[in-house]
Amino acid sequence: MTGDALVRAYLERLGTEARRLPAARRSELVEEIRGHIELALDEAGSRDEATVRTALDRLGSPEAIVDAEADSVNAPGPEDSGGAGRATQRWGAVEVAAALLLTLGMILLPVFGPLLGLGLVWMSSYWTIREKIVVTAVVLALLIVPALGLLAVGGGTEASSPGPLPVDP
Amino acid sequence: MIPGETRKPLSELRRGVVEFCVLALVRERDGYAFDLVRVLSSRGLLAGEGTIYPLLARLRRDGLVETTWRESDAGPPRRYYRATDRGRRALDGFVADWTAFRDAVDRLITSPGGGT
Repeated sequence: MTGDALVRAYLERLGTEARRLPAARRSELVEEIRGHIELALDEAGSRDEATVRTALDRLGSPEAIVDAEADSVNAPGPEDSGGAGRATQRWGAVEVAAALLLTLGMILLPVFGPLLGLGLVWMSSYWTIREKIVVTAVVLALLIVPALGLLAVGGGTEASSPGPLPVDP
Repeated sequence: MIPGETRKPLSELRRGVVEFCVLALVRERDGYAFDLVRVLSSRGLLAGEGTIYPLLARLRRDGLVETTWRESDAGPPRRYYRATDRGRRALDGFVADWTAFRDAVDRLITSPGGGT
């Protein structure tokens, strides 16, 4: 087999192996490897069979390359908070409890429920710091705004009064 | 299971460490894949040269490196990689972890009984 035929066969095997990958990444990977082979052969200054075999040996098998790609798709990134690896994470008991307390808890357990829910949100490793801050701000706003409203409406006469009408002194 | 018999200790060690070696190589200057491969291979850090591409793709997806295409003197344009701010922070974190980890392993290997 000539050197060029070896390269074609290698890239064909790579393309077949890469069917496991998302389509866009599949063609990109094959192009990257094709470019790498070209550079290696240019550098070696030859395209004979022995040179090509050496270059392909150094690349590793198509299986190994696609395995590494599949590993990196599933593995979490170096930063867990990045959310890149979250697609594989599921809600656990903490996340479900937090969601319930922040929704139903608003009605069934006023004030206490949502605050407990926030505590659980911060305990969970599912959400990113930014998401936690946003949720906290929203929940606190939902708790504080009505309270301030009551104070304003109450005119200071009876802060806890739920009465919708101002009371004349 | 006897360590090293059914697993491949070196490849397991490389996994998760090499990506930070790449980040270190592109921390302050642009690098393109073929050059990065040469450095990593010459130091025995890469099993097969081809595995650098999956690794670089992951670093791109995670926003740890950014890339620019540049014309080359010969051949098609080349994709250059450089660490982002986030990549540099990730590397800083790794360096601290790695130093502590390496020291702990070294101490344990050289004096297994403790003797702190």
